[in-house]
Amino acid sequence: MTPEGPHFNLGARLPDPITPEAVRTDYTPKIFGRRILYYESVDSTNNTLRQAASRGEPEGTVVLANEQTAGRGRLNRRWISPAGVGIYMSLLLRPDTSGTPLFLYTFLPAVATARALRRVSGLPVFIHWPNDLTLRGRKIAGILTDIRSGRGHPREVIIGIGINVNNMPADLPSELTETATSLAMSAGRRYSRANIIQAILEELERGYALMRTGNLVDILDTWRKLSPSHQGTPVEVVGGPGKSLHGTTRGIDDDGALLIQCADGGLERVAFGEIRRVRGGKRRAPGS
Amino acid sequence: MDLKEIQEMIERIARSEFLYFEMEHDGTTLKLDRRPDGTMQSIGPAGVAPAPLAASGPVPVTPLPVQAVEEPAEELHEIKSPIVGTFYRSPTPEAEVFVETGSKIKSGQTLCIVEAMKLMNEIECDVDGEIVDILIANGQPVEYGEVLFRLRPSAV
Repeated sequence: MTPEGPHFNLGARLPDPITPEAVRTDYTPKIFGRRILYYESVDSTNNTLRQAASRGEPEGTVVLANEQTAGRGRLNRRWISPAGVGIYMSLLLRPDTSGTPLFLYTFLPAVATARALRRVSGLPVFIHWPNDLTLRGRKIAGILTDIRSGRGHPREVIIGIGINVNNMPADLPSELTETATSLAMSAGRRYSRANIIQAILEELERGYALMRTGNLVDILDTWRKLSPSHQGTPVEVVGGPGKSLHGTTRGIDDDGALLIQCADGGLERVAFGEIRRVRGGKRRAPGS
Repeated sequence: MDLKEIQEMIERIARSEFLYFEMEHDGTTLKLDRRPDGTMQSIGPAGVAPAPLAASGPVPVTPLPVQAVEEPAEELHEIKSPIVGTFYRSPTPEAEVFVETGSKIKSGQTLCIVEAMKLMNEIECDVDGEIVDILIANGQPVEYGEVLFRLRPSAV
């Protein structure tokens, strides 16, 4: 049973700190989390980390905030980030070569976050191309990666992750109650944000080490396993090349592009644009 | 037509799927021909990316107005897209554009964002100079390696 709805009560909220001491991992991190900057409130963790990066903070620096006053998503959409209930974190990478395909900077955090959320909560968190995370068909986490490129190569990558953890229905604006959820709303219990952050840092550490050795199979295979909607799901693509496109998902290629079989039988490769799962189609996305 | 208008028209046609274009206006004739052997060819199916100007060789323009012919060839610096994606001229839809034609630019300054798969890729300038051309409209798709801007580098 899903205890979603405005009336359930999980009792008084206990302290749930996400300070550097609280999120310290059992191991000594080589990259992610060797330096953690914690803020009570920032406009956006990506903006804060960008300023820190320009001061010369090292690769792997993490910014955590208890609250974001202007959390953002793609095309300046808001990410509602109330104090004390969600995870608002950004991570800094400084690629040393141009060898890593850029799309991995969005697939890696999606895989790491989905795995971490599943590990800590046991809940069926899924990925939808390229990196939306959902729980029982509702959005639970968003990832936005800001890259700065000069001379054709990325030199600074900032991965922003926002997760609805202990949000209650009242923490979500009314227009999102049908499309968004939180771990607590879905499971009927609260989770330690620090435990989830530790799990994400650990997953990123492992995944990034593989990525840097050129082993992309692990990330891509895990992504595919956690994203059943990338196969056989009726979708509409808007904002991509050309006019909007209707079809059925047919997997991803080695560059992370989504393959879509159109009604006329043609196979389209979609590298950008927004994917909307078509409700009421013959087949609904598994996990949605 | 002045030189700027002619240049703009050439840019537009270069981005289109036309292989041959001819116009006459106020005594100026403009002919653009990029058919490989001068014969008319059928155009690819809709959705096929138009060949970028650089890839299709020099576009003969005949006859050019006097001032165009006398204009010395200029070495312009090109900024190309490192990925396939959507081209944005401002950081957010409501914000001011990063640069305009004529903007004086410093190396390291952000020129635009190319977005794909929720990667917001800020493209930085790699020279000091002045923006001469912005070749893509806001919100339009760009190909890998497509020229986004032309700059006149500052004299060293």
